[in-house]
Amino acid sequence: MSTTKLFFLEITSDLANLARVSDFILDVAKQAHLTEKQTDHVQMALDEAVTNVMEHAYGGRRDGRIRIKCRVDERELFLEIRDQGEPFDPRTIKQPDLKKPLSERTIGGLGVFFMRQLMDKVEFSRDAAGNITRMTKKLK
Amino acid sequence: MSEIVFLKPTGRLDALGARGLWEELEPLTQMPQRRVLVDMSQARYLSSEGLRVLVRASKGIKQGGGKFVVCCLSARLIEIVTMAGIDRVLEIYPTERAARQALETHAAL
Repeated sequence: MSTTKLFFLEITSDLANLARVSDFILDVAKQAHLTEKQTDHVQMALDEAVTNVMEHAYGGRRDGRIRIKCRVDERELFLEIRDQGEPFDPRTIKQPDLKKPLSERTIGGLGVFFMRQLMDKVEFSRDAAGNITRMTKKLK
Repeated sequence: MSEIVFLKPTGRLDALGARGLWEELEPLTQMPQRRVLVDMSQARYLSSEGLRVLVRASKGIKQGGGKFVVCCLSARLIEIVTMAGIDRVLEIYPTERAARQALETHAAL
């Protein structure tokens, strides 16, 4: 019999809460017996996804609501991040930090690039309540 | 040539940590001929924003005729840096000693 574990975290859109998100996913990884590499990958993908929400959906506001759900079984780990911020399309995010990047190709949208590299599936959508980011990583 | 500036970020270079690091590096990008070494041995995590800060600092310091080097990345950080192709952009050394030697050589030029 396969067991599905569920984990939830709700935070506000303050960058200081990224440390809590990290603790959350490390706890999930431990309970789900992820390998060290799987843990690193899922941790970074979630950090980048939540950072995008904080900086782009909430535009730096610190009081926006962010809900994270994680579902994990033996086969895969699924993450869902919901926010009530402005619509944003992470595929078109311009990185304001670098005026003239050394390499446009790798620097532009670097967070989303990492999410796609580290996870098997990444989807962005929106419903009446707000933006939804969904990511899946196969564990076997 | 200026003295070598040695920075050792500790903990998480997530978006918040990256801002803190940039506050230290940004003034150095405004000065001519800086020599800067960032030791990453105590950085447990490096986000895309952390990478951007390193690249931006590297570019700014080079433009001022200085040199910016990074050392002591863990295997997990090397994986991230390589994944984004940033190992071709940053000057990365395995040890602090090798990084310091590279900075000394720069001074001799």
